[in-house]
Amino acid sequence: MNKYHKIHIGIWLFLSGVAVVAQDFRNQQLDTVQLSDARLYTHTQTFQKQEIAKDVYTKQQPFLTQTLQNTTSLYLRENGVGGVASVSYRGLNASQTAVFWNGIPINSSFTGQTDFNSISVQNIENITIRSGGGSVPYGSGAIAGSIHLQSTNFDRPDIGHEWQTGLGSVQTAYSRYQYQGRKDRFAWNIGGAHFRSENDYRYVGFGNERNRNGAFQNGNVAMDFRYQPSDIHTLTWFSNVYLGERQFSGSLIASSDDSYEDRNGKAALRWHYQKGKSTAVTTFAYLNELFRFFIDPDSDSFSSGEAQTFFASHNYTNALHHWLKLNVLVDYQDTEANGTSVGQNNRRNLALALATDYTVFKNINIQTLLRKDFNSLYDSPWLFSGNLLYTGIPQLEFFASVSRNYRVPTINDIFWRGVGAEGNPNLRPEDALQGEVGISYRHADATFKLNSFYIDIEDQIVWQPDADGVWSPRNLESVRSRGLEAKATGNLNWNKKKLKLHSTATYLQTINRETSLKVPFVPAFRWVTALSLRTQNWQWDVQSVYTSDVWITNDESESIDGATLVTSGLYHTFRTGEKTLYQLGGRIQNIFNTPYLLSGGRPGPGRQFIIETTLKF
Amino acid sequence: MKIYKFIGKLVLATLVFTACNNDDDTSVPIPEETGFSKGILVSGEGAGTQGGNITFISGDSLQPLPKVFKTVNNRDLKVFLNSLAFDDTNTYIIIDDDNTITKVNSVTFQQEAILTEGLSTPRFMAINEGKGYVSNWGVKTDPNDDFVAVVDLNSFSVEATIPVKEGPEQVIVSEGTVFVSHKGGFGTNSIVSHFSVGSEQVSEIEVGDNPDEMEIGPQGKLWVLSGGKTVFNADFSQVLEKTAGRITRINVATKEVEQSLSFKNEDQPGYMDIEGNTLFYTVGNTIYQTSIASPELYTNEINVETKNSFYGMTVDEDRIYIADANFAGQSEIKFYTLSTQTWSESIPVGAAAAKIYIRK
Repeated sequence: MNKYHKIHIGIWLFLSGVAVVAQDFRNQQLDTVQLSDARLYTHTQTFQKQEIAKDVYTKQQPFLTQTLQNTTSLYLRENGVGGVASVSYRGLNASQTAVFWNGIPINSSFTGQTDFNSISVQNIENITIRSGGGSVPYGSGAIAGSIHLQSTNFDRPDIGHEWQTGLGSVQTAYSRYQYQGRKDRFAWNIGGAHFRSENDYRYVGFGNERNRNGAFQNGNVAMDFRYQPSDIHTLTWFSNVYLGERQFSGSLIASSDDSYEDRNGKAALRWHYQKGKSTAVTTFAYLNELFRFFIDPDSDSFSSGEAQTFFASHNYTNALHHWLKLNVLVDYQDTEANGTSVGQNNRRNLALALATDYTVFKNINIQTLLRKDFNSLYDSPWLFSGNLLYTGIPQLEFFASVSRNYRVPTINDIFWRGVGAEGNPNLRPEDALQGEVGISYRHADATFKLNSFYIDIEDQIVWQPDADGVWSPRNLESVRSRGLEAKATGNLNWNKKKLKLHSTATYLQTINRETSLKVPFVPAFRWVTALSLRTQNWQWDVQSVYTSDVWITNDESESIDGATLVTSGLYHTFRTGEKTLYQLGGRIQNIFNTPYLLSGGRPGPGRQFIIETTLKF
Repeated sequence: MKIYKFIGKLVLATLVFTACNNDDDTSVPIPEETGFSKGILVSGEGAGTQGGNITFISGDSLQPLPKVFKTVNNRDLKVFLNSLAFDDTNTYIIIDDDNTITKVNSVTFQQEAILTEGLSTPRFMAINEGKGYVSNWGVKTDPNDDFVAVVDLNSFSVEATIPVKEGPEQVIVSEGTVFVSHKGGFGTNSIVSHFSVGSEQVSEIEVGDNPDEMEIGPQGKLWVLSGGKTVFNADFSQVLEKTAGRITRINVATKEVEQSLSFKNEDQPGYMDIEGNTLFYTVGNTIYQTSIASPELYTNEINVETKNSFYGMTVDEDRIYIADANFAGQSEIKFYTLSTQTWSESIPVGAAAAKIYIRK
């Protein structure tokens, strides 16, 4: 990371912040909606949702990777700590899980997936995992499930200033400042954050080498506003600018002096109208993604890509009766991409969807959804989804769902032209048919949930070399994934003390139907348990994550061993005024210094320490 | 006695390996005296999550022993293992992305030294009288930093660096002259450069586009296979030019091109080998054979069926060995017996298997 880049980042952050503010005040279009992702509420049963508490993820390292890895059944394959991290949820590949920021799809236009080490959770207020097929309300990629990041809860009670700083092993440092407030009909939330690490940890159990060329830093600025001119109208503005610089670390099998920069700008304006039984939500969003990949540290030359996406959506809901709701969705997306090896090109997509929501006999809820996309590059299938929820027996909930979902080819899949690789303009979208059933049981402060799913994907896009060694994507694979998921949560309160337990276990069987072999990078078992104990001024937590062996080749010839990793933190709060509090604490990651591999030939870090302070006023 | 100790270790390692794989019949008998110096060695470049690898296949049983370097030295080879070179006692493992050459004992495969200085994307090494001539591409962003490193194989250090034009690939030493084909490296090229052993005076011979494979044939002639080139625009979004390949015969003494055979259309041949008086070459998944005395293109074809990618070919006596490379798992090799016109069973080898060396 040279000086030039640091200055560059600083200037960029500053200018973008100013530009966003200027634009905001000029248009006088500030402000908010209670729910930045309305579809998460209208088309998602609570059964399908898992929310991650904010005080859990603000105490992890501030990448989305750690948050998900330590608290959910999602498996993340990291190409080194801080390197490119891709998700495997329900046994499916990274482009089959969609990620949304305030309801707007943010999977990369180039790769179709999200690099979870380029998403900071520092300026995120709520993370929700939605399991199961969601392409009808959400579009491409929401097959295994989707991850929803909401940047602000404007109605949060404990608003004010918040400053957090953490310092840790391998010269890791992060800080975050947030100012949230409300006045009259305005509300705002402004935040800035920075995270850096030398990341040169010593390998544990795999020789005595250090992790080389692994340093990274990133920063992001977020500004969200809400303006409610009347009880009927609400205007909300969301914006975030993220800048990341990373070296891509070497491994036991590859040396590296590569580095990577990414810059992501996101802005959205939403108008929420609610009168009587009608709700209309209109959103305009602009996303800009830019990356630069440097293979030679001594040269200024790089390969790069930039994509700009304009997104507009309209979501109209009418409660015709207390037992029937109708919902119309229109989404339009226009992506302009330009980059090394893909040239300049454009992709437009219009989606229309119709959804109904009936409640019969007071305890049976049926949702039916239908969607058709019109795309400038390929034909999209008709998509549907049907959900059934039965709540007729006290304490129990039964859930069943069937849906057809899809994933569209990416810009790289279609347009790539380069030495040894060539995109394919004749690709079809991947087609997924799936179903799940589940049951949940609630008793006092405890809940248990069990569900089972089946996903069948046809036309999965895979890059393979031809006889001349030229890599090209084709609709070749067909994949079947089956699984069982069990979850238990419990709360125990006594004497101003709170004990919380959360445990999730998953069993997966994901095979390539042509070869009948297991799909690589899918752990058959994952078991995540978190326990936290809170008293008035103390907070202690421990998390244990077990991941079973995973194959790292497509022919079951090589695997990496499973491991259990344990993390624990202890925090003390000092209250110095009614609104002022100061928290000091620390955490230990990988307490038992367990050797493990993040991916083939990439040892993960051993025991690491972090000290953290938070000030709220 | 060292060798017996080693064999003991090896057997143990093999047992452990087979136990892990629940596979009961892959223990490979290694002849005590010759170890890994007689048989078939298949080098795999490594790919994705797997390092470079070398599989040993005993010539008699045709049973593979995977990852011999790792088994013996308890260390992964890095990516990308481009090629091997051999002298009387040692095997040299050339890893381009790691800028290293590892020297192992040919019999035991125990590492003796590693050369980490003075190389920059090393590709191939030819050995002549205690010296290794190593082609180096240099860094990707600089077309003018390519060179041939002269390595003293005893001290195992680079003793001279001879600058050459873009993309030096295969190296052959014949009659006191070092010949280097210029496949183009990160760009393209169309020359074979040469210099006398001991000299740094480089001359060039114009051949076809992107010359790669070189062989010394009957009467000491140098045969060069040029693969043809594909030229892209700056952002690789368009193919500007695609040329066909060529086979060229060069007189080693006079350095003159004596014969040149051009492929038709935009055919770009991949591999070439010479056995006796027959020249074998490939276009796509087809192997052709022609007599050296009166060569003709597109004759005597043999079709190759691959599961993944046809990634290497070696001809030895009656057999044409081919590598079927898998970049996300195990590759395979198999061979075609010319006299019986039949293909052998496939033999599993490491990731991205590329080169097959028949060691006798």
